[in-house]
Amino acid sequence: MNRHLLLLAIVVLAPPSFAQLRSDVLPPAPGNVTLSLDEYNRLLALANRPGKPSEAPPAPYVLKHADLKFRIVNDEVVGSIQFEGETLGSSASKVPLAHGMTILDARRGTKPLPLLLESGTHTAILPGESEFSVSLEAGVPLTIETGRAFFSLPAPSAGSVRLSLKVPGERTNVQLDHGIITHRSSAGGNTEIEATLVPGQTASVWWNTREVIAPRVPREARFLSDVNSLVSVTESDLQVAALVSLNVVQGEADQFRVAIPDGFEVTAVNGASVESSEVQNGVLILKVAGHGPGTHQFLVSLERPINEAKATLPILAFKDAQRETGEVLVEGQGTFELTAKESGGLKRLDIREVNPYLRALSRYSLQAAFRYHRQTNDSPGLSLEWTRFPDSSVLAAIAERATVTTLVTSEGKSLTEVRLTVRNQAQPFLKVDLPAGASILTAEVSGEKVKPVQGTDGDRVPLLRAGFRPAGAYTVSFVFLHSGAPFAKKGDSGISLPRMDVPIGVLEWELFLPEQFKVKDFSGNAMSASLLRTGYELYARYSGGSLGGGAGYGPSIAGDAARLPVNGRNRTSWTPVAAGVALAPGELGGYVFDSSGAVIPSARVEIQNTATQVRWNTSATAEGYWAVGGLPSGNYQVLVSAPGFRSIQQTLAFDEADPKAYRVALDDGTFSDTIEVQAWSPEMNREESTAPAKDKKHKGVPAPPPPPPSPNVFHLQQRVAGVLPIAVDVPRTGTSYRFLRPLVVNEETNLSFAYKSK
Amino acid sequence: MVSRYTQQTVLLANVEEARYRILLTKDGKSLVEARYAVRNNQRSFVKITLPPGASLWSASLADKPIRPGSGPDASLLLPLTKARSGGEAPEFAVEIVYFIPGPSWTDKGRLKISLPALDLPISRTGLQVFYPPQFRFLAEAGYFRAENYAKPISPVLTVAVPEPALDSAVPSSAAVKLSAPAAPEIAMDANAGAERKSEAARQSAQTLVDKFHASERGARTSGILPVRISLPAFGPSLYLVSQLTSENQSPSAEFSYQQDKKAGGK
Repeated sequence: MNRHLLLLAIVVLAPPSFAQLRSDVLPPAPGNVTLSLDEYNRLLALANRPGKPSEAPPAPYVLKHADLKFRIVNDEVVGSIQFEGETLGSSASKVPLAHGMTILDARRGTKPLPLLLESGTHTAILPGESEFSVSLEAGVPLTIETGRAFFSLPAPSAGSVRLSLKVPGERTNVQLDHGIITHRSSAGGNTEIEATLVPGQTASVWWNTREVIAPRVPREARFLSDVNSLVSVTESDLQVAALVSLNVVQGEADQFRVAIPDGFEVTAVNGASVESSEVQNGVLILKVAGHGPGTHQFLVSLERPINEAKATLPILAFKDAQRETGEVLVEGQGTFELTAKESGGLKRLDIREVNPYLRALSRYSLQAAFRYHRQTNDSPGLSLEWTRFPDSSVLAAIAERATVTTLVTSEGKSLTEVRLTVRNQAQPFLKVDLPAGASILTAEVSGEKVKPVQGTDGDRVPLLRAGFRPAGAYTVSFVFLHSGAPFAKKGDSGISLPRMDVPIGVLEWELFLPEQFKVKDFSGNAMSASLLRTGYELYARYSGGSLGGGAGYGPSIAGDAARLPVNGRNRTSWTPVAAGVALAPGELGGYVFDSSGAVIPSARVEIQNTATQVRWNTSATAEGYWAVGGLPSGNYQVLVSAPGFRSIQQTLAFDEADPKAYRVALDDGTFSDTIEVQAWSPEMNREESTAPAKDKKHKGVPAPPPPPPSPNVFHLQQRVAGVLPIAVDVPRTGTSYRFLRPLVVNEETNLSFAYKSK
Repeated sequence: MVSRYTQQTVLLANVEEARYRILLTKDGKSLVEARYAVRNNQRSFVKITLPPGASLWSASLADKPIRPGSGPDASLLLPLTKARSGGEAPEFAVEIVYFIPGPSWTDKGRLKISLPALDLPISRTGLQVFYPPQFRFLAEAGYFRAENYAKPISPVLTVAVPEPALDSAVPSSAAVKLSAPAAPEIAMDANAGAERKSEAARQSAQTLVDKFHASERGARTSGILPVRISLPAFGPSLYLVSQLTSENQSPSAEFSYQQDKKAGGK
């Protein structure tokens, strides 16, 4: 029974006992052991055998693992190193931790850990036979070169070394030697790698760098505005031309806004940087190119109609301008008196001191000027009131000279050419009141054929030349035919020139009468050209002071008449037009005409003294006049040239005490053509009549040589059969009589005379 | 003791010199060219009252044709160029040409020529009268006295201004183009970069000005400008002078004439 109880106790209690033995080996199992004596003795012998002596550990410490975590801060690589290890000796051990780097802090657990620096190695003294965990804060220098950054990192001599490195830049390609990169990742603008380093060796880490452009943060646009406004008060509207200069000093501005004053309409926007402009809800939006700092210049034109003689002036203000300055210039079209009342920051300014480009914009009479610098809560303003005076009527056209040639046949037919040198601003037609039965055969304006027209109140010749050219003089000519009473054996006759509605400064009339008649007793409102001593200086202004008054104009001297311009039909020639008059002593000058009698402006005149070779150069005025002063007596070679005309050269004997003015007529030609005119004395040029006049009053008066036929006469020959009795090759047959009349104002010019058959 | 004085009014404009040239014809017509050398500080226009019966033919300011206004009393109002205040006002020329009809001359008679009245004083006046060559013509003693001809003293009356370019319908760019020295000096132009910017700004402004004048707006004018009229210096002449013509005074000169049979008169 006891045996059974013992076995049961063993079965029940045995598992806990085994479990206790497995978990706690040292305590022997309670109970008794029965041994034999031999075994007992052997055990005693073993127990009494002396023990083996204890052995020292093979290394005083073990660095099991080093975990390096570094990042790039500016030009350094900083981070931490976490060491795990164990000291094996019974006493404290020196554990070398790191070298080749700067240690910023060292801790064991949470307690500071002092380090020794031995031969460049940072060493910690750790207690023996214990495990340890040490952390260091360390850094190494980073070298940055062009496009590359690198550093060296000595790996601790631990069982394993892990590196975690964070460098700036997304997807930076970090390279490493003496180690293996095990992981790469990019986030937040940085690249992070994980690597295993070779313990005890220095790893080199490098990567390519790029310029890191900081993301652009939009900055608030700040600009200064300078608005120079020209305000034009015209007869019908108020115009504003604003020369705007916007200087962007900060930020980006891709558009500017300016409120359009009430009632105004934008008529034009110009500017090199303007990409587009539009008006939205009364605001002009200017979109510009080149958004960065810089200057934008625009010209904004506005206008509105005006219905009364006052207005409040708008001053353009650009929205969000940091500083607003500007000037206002007021001009007015026509004649008016303006009163300006300024307010706000507007200050009156001298007109001469306004911005020169603003003044350059002006077109009318300047009235007032102002300057402003807009202040907060202070808006400049300007009110205008004006009284406008009506314009006076002025002359739109005038004929400075009329050169008339009339051929009269014994049958009473007359053919008259009227050649006018006209200045015309706007008059479209020349009204000609021809005598009854007369008709215009041909007409020219500035060398171009035109068609005369006929109205109920008279004939009209077109007066405007092609294109709008209000400046300068040009020629208008027409030819008319009139059939009058035939000449009898003797009697009285008369002839008249038609009334023209353009005032004529001087009318020169050359009348050819049949040579088979003696003509005398001229009367009428034109005077004989012989009453003027010589050719006259028409239209002499005060140019150079050479054309004075008084001297040179006087009563006729017999035998020295009729050296007048020959109706614009001079051949290429030099004709003294004023012997010793109208020029100062030592002055040589004259007029330059073309073959049609029109002046040649800006003709070039070169004068050279043939003895001293001294040269003078000058140009003709717009009226064809030229003069050179201060010339000593001597022989001079004079060359006159003009583009499109054949140059003419003349050697003249010049007496400074007896200066002469010459009429020079140039033929059409090329630039290179030059005609050498043989020297001749003024007397040689005296014109001789083909049929010397036998009238006593005109005896001795030289008549001109037969001039070449007028182009008009050629056309007449082709087109009008009735004029054929007048020989085309001798269009000026007969006896020549010359007359002058100054200041013909919408009136006829008439002559009457008595004749008698020879 | 402090005495305060009232400021006197001073002259804002003055005619330094007036030159008249008159063409007389036997049939009684007269054409008068009046040129005035004016200095002006603040006046907007000068008022000119023509003799009765005169009709204006042409007017110009600084040799540019203008259309003068017509005042309530039928006087002419010619705009004046204003000068910089405080500085010496430069002279400029104001010119008018007008026509007066009249009775035909007889064999012998007297003639009175009235000249325009200006609302500005005139320092010196020169009068040149061209008369028909078939007459003897003498100046009577009076406001003017006869002298040998002398050129105008004022340079603006002696300098011949060339005509505007032929075929020019609008002001040429050269006419409105500003020369570099006339352009404003900007204080910021301290370095080359700033100068380049300044030059670019000037060119940009000049381009805008040119474009403005080339546009229809820039060329728009109203009415017809008068033609330039050159008085024909026809016939013999007399020259007379006077000094110190007060404002609103219409000077006049008297002449006697007689037909000269030696000179072709009948």
